Amino acid sequence: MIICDDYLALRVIVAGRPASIPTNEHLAMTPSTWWRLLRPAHTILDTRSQGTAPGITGVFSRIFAASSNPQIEAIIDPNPQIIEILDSRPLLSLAASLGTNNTTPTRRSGSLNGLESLAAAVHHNGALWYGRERNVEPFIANRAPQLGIDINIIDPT
Amino acid sequence: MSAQPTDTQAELRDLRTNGDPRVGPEMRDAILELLANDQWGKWVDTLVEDDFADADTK
Repeated sequence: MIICDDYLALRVIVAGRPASIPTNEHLAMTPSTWWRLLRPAHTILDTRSQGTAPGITGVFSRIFAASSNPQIEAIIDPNPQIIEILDSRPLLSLAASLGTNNTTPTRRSGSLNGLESLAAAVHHNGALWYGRERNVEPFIANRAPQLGIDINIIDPT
Repeated sequence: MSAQPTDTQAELRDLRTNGDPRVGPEMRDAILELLANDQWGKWVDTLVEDDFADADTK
């Protein structure tokens, strides 16, 4: 299983897999990665349904504001044959544990998103794939090899 | 001779190759441009500072 960051998740939803992602691998994202996409998507959908202007206008919101509801719903409710959203229940306890068992702590021992993705890779015997090298938190970059988890970087474009 | 793909296999291949058909070309192109220009910025910093940060970089 390939655990995607939000760059790759978006890429596979809107334009399919980049050629370098193995065709036979199952793709998944964690709930906290999905959250990063849900917030701007709902900002547009919900304010649109209320007939009001969105109060938040980031780059993502602007794209969604120019898109129809069914298009936005492809992000809110991804086709599981494209990318699965994992159940966080078996992941969070493991994520918290992985965030404390470290020998090289950074400012914090990983974010929720980073640790949940790392836990997903451990729990599902998968690998972490990111759309940009700088999307890999330093803590996760240190911790993943200790756990035998591969980190892959792939250009999402 | 290997078996021909079923309709389901063909649909799966199409989804994996082209993405969700609910997404139109304008939204697809806009998001690909966003990814290409890497406009989200401060990704890790945002995550580490705020566990519930979304992707909507200003």
